Amino acid sequence: MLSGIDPSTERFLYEINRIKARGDRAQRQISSGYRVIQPSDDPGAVPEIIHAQTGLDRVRQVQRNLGQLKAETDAAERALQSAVALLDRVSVLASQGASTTVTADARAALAGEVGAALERLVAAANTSVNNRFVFAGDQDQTLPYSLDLTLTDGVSIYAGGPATREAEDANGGRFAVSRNAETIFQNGSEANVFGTVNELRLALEANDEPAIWTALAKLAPAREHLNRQLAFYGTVQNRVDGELAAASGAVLDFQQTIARWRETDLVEASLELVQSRTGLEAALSARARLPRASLFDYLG
Amino acid sequence: MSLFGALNASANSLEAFSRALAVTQNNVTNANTPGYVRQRPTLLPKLFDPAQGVAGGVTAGSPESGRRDYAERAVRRQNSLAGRFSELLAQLTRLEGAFDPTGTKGLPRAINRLFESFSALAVSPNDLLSRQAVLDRAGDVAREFRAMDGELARAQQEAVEQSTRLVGRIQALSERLRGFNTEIRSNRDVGADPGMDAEVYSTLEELSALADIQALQASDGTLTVLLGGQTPLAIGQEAYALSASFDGAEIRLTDAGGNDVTEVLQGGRLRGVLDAANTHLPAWRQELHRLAAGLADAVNAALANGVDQNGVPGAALFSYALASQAAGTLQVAPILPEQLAAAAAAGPGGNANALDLAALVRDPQLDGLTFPAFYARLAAGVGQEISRGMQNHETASALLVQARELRHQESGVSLDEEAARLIELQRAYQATARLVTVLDSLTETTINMLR
Repeated sequence: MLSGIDPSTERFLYEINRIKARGDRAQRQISSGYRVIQPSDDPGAVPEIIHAQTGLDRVRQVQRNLGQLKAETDAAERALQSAVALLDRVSVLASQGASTTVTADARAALAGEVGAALERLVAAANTSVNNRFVFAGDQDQTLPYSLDLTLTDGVSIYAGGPATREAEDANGGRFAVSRNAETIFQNGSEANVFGTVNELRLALEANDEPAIWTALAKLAPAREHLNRQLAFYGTVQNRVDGELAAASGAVLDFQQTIARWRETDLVEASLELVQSRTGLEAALSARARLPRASLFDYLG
Repeated sequence: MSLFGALNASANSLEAFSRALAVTQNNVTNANTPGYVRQRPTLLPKLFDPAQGVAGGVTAGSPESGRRDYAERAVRRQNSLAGRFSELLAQLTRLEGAFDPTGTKGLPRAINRLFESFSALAVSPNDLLSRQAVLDRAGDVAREFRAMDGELARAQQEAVEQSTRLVGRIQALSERLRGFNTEIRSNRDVGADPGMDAEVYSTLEELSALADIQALQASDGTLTVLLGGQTPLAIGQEAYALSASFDGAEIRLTDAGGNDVTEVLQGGRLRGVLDAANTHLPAWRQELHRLAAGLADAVNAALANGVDQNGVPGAALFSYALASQAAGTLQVAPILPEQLAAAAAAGPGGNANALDLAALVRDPQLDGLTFPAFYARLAAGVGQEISRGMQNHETASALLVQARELRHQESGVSLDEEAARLIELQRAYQATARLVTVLDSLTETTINMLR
């Protein structure tokens, strides 16, 4: 259906609508705080915003992952520190037991203390965080070791898996984050912490002085090995802290990118709003001043 | 020249001026009637030969119509363009809300959250909650794809319904034009009637908003109206059928002879609907299907490279019917959380495969783009089409207003002009009336002299 509006009025309404649309858009931008609400607001900005938002989501997840990882590496480091301390104590006990003046009863008492240390070392190897055994490698739901003094090393066979897991950094890079208990506590004959401690325990129990000296000699390399594992976790901690800092920087960058593309430039939008209002008032005022009379009004 | 002859001539003049005044009155009263154009009264001098006693005078000719065919054609052309862009814009704008441009909701958010869940799985690959979270996020992705495809399908269905409505309206207007032609043919005087003329042209203008038409006037005054300059809608006393049908992929227009005339149509709201339903919506749906199939295939392939918690090769996470319908049929496969392959085959219980899955969001997958970037290209494309549609609509509307202004200048009723003519005719009428009075007086004097 066609309207009977005369073309000049139609033109006026068309121009008014254009001005009003500009004003409405500016008003919407100011009230929402966003310049891009729909794809047509700035199609060119859409890929930039989505790219930045995807990056932001990904890096935030990396932050959460690293936060969780940090708790695990901290726990692992604390467990290894206590293991090193235990090994120090075991070294002291071994030195005492190796003395020629120590009686068989005293050695038996020392053997009991070494046995307790072994139990605590096993507990350290079984450290868990959030229901995950941090030294169980890839089989983190499985208890890595249990104490079994009837066996040669005083512990059951390692029940965990190899530690192949890696963590992801903010740039998509990967780095190893863990070692398994077997690598840490039962790594070959020279760095077999459990085996060395149990060997010492058995030697003390048997009041076998040469065997005590043999076990004592093995404690130093075991301690060195544990310290190397501790250093590994220290390095991981540093890497995690560094990656967390990098992730925070990346989050900031992405947020700035999103803000640059998406958020309203308040100065520009306010100016646009004022201009459109002024334009609207001017148009209405001009229209109101237009002479409406025709010659018919002057006919007597 | 006799007195009676002069009196007769004056009386005829009064009649002519009276008819001219009626034309002016009709112009004024129809100043805002759609389709009406000003009529200019014509006054024709009568034969004047005093030697033969022919008194001359004036007679009223047929009013001259102010209609200018080129101005009408220009209006109809711009009306078709404006109709096309306005309908296209209306069809596309309703869909815009489905395409989130920020990545914070809808499909892009669901995709990001799926890859976040893979990333979280890499931290706790054997944790049942992490595994369940992946299945839940995958369910969200499938649901968002189906919802978006559903919106596009609904938009296409609405476009089909709109095309049927518009074709119905075109048919009704063609039928009305056929009626006018019948009246004109049965009574040629009707064709010259400004009222009928206004109705015909306002119908043509209304029709031009729906479809681009060409109107040709035959010598008998009837109109031939052609769709796109080729397909007859109304010729003489015949109206020709036009129908729209949806073949499952596109809307096709068929003329009375059963010929496909879809591409004949180049303007009007119907063209806008066809543009939306046959070009833009299918293209966007196809891109959405590609994204859905690409995402599902990439995730499934990555899962197949790994092993689940039992060391068995990973089960597929997604399934869909056909690649060409992937978005609408995407489902999460009925698998258990432990069947997700987070570990590489070489390291059961590890997280290598979960990391590979999480990395899919960063790696180019489709047309050299990542999944989020592919979606962004689609959303930006939608935005560009709508933005272009807005600009085209604005330009076409401005040109239409301009064409109507030009037509009004050429053909419209000017109240000032009519007032001036009214005064002019009033003066002429008064002068003639005065002449009649003088002639009457002269006649009376002459008669008295003869007595």
